[in-house]
Amino acid sequence: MDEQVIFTTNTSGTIASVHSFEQINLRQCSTQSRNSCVQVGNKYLFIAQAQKALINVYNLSGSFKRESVEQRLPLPEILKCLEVVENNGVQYDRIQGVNHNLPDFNLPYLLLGSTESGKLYIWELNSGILLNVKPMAHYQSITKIKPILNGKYIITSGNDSRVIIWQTVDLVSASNDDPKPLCILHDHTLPVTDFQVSSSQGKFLSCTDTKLFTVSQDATIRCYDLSLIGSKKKQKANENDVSIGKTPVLLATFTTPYSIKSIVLDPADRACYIGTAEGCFSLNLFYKLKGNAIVNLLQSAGVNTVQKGRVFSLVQRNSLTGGENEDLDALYAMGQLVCENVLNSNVSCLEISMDGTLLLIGDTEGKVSIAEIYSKQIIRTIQTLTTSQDSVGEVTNLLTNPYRLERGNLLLEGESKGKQASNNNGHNFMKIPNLQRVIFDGKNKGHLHDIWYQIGEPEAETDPNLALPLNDFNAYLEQVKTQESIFSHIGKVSSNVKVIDNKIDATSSLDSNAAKDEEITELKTNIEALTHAYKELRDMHEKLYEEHQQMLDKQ
Amino acid sequence: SEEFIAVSTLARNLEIAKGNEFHTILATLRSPVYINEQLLKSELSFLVTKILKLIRSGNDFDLWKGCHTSVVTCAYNPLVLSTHGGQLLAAIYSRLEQKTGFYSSVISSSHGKQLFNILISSVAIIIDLMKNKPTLSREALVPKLKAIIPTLITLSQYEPELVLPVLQRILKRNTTTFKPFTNKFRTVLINLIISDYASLGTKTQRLVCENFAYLHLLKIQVSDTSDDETQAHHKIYADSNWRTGLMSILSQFKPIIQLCGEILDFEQDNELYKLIKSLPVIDESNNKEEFLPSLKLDFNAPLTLWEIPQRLSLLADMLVAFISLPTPFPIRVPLGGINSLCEVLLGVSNKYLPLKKELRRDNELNGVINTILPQIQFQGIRLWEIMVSKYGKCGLSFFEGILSSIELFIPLKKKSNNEIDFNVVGSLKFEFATVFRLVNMILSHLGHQLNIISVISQLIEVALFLSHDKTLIDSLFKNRKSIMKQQTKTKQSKRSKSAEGAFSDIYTHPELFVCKNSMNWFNEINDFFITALNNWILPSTPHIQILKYSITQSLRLKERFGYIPESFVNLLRCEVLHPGSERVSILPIAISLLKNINDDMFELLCHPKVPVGMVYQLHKPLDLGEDGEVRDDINKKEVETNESSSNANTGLETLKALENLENVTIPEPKHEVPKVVDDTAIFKKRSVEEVIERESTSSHKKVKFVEETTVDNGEELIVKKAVNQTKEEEKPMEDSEDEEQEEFEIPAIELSDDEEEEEEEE
Repeated sequence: MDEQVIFTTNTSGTIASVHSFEQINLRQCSTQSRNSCVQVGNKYLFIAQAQKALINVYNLSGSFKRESVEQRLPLPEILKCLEVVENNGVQYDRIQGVNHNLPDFNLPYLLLGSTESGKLYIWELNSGILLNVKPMAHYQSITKIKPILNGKYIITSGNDSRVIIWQTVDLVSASNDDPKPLCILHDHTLPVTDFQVSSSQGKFLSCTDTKLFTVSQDATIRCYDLSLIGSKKKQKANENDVSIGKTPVLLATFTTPYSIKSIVLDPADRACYIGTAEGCFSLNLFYKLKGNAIVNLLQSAGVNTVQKGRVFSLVQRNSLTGGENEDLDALYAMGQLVCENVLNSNVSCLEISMDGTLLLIGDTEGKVSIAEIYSKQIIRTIQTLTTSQDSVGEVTNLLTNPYRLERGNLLLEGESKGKQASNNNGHNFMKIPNLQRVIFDGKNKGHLHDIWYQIGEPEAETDPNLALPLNDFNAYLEQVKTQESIFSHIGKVSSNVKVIDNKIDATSSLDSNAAKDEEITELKTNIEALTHAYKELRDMHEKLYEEHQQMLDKQ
Repeated sequence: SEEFIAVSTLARNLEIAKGNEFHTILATLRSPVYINEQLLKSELSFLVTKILKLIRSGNDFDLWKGCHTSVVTCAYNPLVLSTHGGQLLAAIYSRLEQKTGFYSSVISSSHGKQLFNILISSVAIIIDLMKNKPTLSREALVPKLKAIIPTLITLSQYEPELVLPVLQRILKRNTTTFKPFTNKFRTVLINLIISDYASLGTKTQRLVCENFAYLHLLKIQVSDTSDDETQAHHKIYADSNWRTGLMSILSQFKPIIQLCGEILDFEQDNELYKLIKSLPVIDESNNKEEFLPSLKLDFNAPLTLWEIPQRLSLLADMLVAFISLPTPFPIRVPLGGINSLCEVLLGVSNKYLPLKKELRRDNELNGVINTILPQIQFQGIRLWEIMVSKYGKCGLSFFEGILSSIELFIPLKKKSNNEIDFNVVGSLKFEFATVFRLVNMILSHLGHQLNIISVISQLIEVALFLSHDKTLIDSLFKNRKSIMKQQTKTKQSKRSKSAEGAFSDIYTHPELFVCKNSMNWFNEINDFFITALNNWILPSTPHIQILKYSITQSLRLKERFGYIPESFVNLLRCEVLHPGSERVSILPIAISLLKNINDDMFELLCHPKVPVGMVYQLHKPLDLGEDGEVRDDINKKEVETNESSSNANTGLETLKALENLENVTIPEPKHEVPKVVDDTAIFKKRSVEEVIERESTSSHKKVKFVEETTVDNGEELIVKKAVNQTKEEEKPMEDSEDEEQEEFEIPAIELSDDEEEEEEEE
């Protein structure tokens, strides 16, 4: 197992790994804006190209991993941000309770793209149909798009300093021409540059304590509680019987001295890390005071209170004199929190490793530094492999994901690999459908709305009735026993099959059997008669012979 | 040195072995010690010869033994599989062919069916073992398949259940080898579909449809399809044949739905009429697929109408096969077309559409129509269920439409104001189970803001109704009462007495005539309730009904099984977390029910560990004043002044903190108030009681104490104060209690913000 690092700069794209020195350069890749690169399943990488209305698709999976562009998807406009909404959970067949393997052709449900003007494009990837275009989703360019809660909702942030939460179904529904957002957060005063949502999210928006962190150029981090149902009491007099609250609660605001470019959360929400032009800072969300006292900075203030959450200002530890614990308490009382400086560099992108100990920091010079958070030491720096002397520009995207090393156990893994190769004939599988430019008319019911789709093989391919002896020998033996009992009913009678006539088919043979029976009885009587006659004859013959013998004797 | 039984010994014993001995031989043959190349020539080939002898023997029991032995050896011994596998397969297959030749005489013997079963499954298993092994399948398997397939096809007419799974796998894996036999197999399948379909089991029905669909895996030859020059350059997709089959089935729905137009007046509903018109059709000339005989319906013989739902169900089965089977290549699925088909099917309802005028008089005919309409609708629900389960989010744009169509399936009482007709609901239980499964799947993809909420509340009513155990004799009792009255009036008691004898069980043991709900049903319903409670705040009546349902059913099941099934525990959890607009939390009830069931979640609810709060120290209130109101005010002022003086900069923050601290309550074991994350409901209830109490005791409100957080860094002392209001009564014990409270360290756990609630902290 290893973790893959994918990062793009203005003029390059690189795939490397955290713990080994493998590195691949993606060809013909140039990006302009942040969040313009999205990983699709474990297979594809979509990168919206700079200055071109084009998405480059790269193949990341296993033996088909390539540096060259796998496919190009032309677009109606230049896109800035990309995101996909996955179609999860279909591999489990609820009706029959069987798991299906992921098919070779497995695409997410939606592709979302945003333009400079804040327009939001929504494509269905399986058909390439443009389901909807939301003009002026934001008044300025969108900076990040992210689906949450298994794609039920989508959050967007924009340069218009707003953060908007959409309901996915509103964006794609045929009956809904102009989707309205679920709610709009406009607490920030300058462009919202980045946001993060807790990695663990509940099943419903109502019962989760999922947090949303937004950062902005106005040098604040704001943390919201996304459990929308919490604020129900305020709108008791809803027109419907069934009602629900609408706005997330602002839990806390953190102010910093610098405008913030990016944020990343610890996988378990224990800390957050922010990237600014002056360096990268970390803040423990369970803030430690004197003795054993720990403050949960994000504690919700209560359902009914009108308050807007607490406001803290972040102070860098280095600037303090002693940095002793007493100071912390005093500062806390003044609403000041001490945060650590992890690295001094002009940060553009941040990412965290899966165990939450390594921070990946992409800077404006186009290199990614891997730093250990605890010791604040840089372990490694990854740079684009390039021969040219020009700067590659700033890091625009930074993704990590764990992956399995192919060479784990060749003997056991080999099977699936071989199967894959035989199914695909190497490279010959389905292309991603082209993205359309015209909005699909969902109201026209006559439209077939074709999608390309493949369903994977079920997990247990064999019929359970056959009970393949390799899988479950005991079940097989059980079957043997039941069958034997049926055979033992007939005891030791051996049933030899008589070959009568090959051409007689099933139905007529019954009739002919009856006819034969008759014939047999007839023949039997014949034989009986003949033997009887023969016996008589023989008796006669014997008598005559005896007489003849006697005659001879007399003579 | 090797201590194992020699293969030759096993082989020799094989001939006479039976019962336990045979089983042990099979188990022994699995041993890895026999996978030895040195054994291959002598010992293993001896074993194979013995097995072959058994297989070729005229004795059926020997044949049976030979099949099992060869399967086990091939499965566990790769050496035997690769050297002798082909030989064994050929031997078994030739016996199968031979037995097929005398199908009727073999099947008439008591073990005939078993014999076919073992022969077919042995062939299938050995084929399975050989597949994907390049040399083996090329040398041994594929050439033999050409002989095996026709035999299996012949046999599939008689034993579809046994043979079709095998054929299906061959068809999927070795499509090209199967090609010459496609037409023959097709004829067999069509014959099964047309004549015997209804008498096959559901599983076999599915197999027939799946096999039929897999026949379309074969690719169409490029040459004969492109008559049109302009079409010639178009790419022929791999799935073109599959799509032809799919579209052909899809298009056959339309004429049948149009037939329903003879029953219902579709023209009343313009939208539906348009929708029906837009359903996909293909030209008759191109449609080679159509093979189903036309329906014979006669309004004078109403029972013939039953053919409509039956035919629709057949078509739906086939469509399901086409859209739900795994394929080696991606296929085009007309999701939109299927969706509008389902919408039309759901629209075939007399809920909003009137019957045709000329049909309204005939009672029997109307009765038949009333039973077939829900069945027609149900086909739509089935298709949707498959669509949603297989395609997930891809159907997201239709989901709201599906929910509103489902509303059409819920029967209403005639001439009433949206009252659900529970009699009809009761008879559609199976169908509703599917509906709930579908709704659960849909809701898991939608958010909480829906335009169609009414259907949810109707479904809740239906779910609650159907979750009661149903007595079969309920209606009987009602009817009998009226009959009895008549009888006493007319004094025809003699007759009734003779009939009464058979009824005695009904009167004495009515509980034996009850249909109980299965656990599967409860799981699905609970899932639905959990989704509903999580997403919406329900009106009081259904909410309380759900509470009642969950509590009584949990108790009942606990009494029956000794534990509460998981889905009920989940439902109880969810009810505790979402009290809705209720004032009473069911936390105590849930916990009493789940007593001794160590549930982590409830444990946490009772003893909250998170969130980690700040630790505050308490000081004794300065003065227990006589005049509470004044004291209150003074203290508040004090706090304010303190704040303003201490730190002007952080004034705002302190204020925020103060508001927070107002919520602090002191846990007192005496009250046993469980701390719920969302416990407003519990406190609400108490506040009502509190009002009464307050009136009687006429006590004063007091400011109790001021909380201070002292930070001891040198001389500077920053004091944070918070006000907590508690009720103070003129009782002697109050002092001592206060003293106790001083020691308390109060975690700043946010509990509730209603100030009245805290008064009860006394």
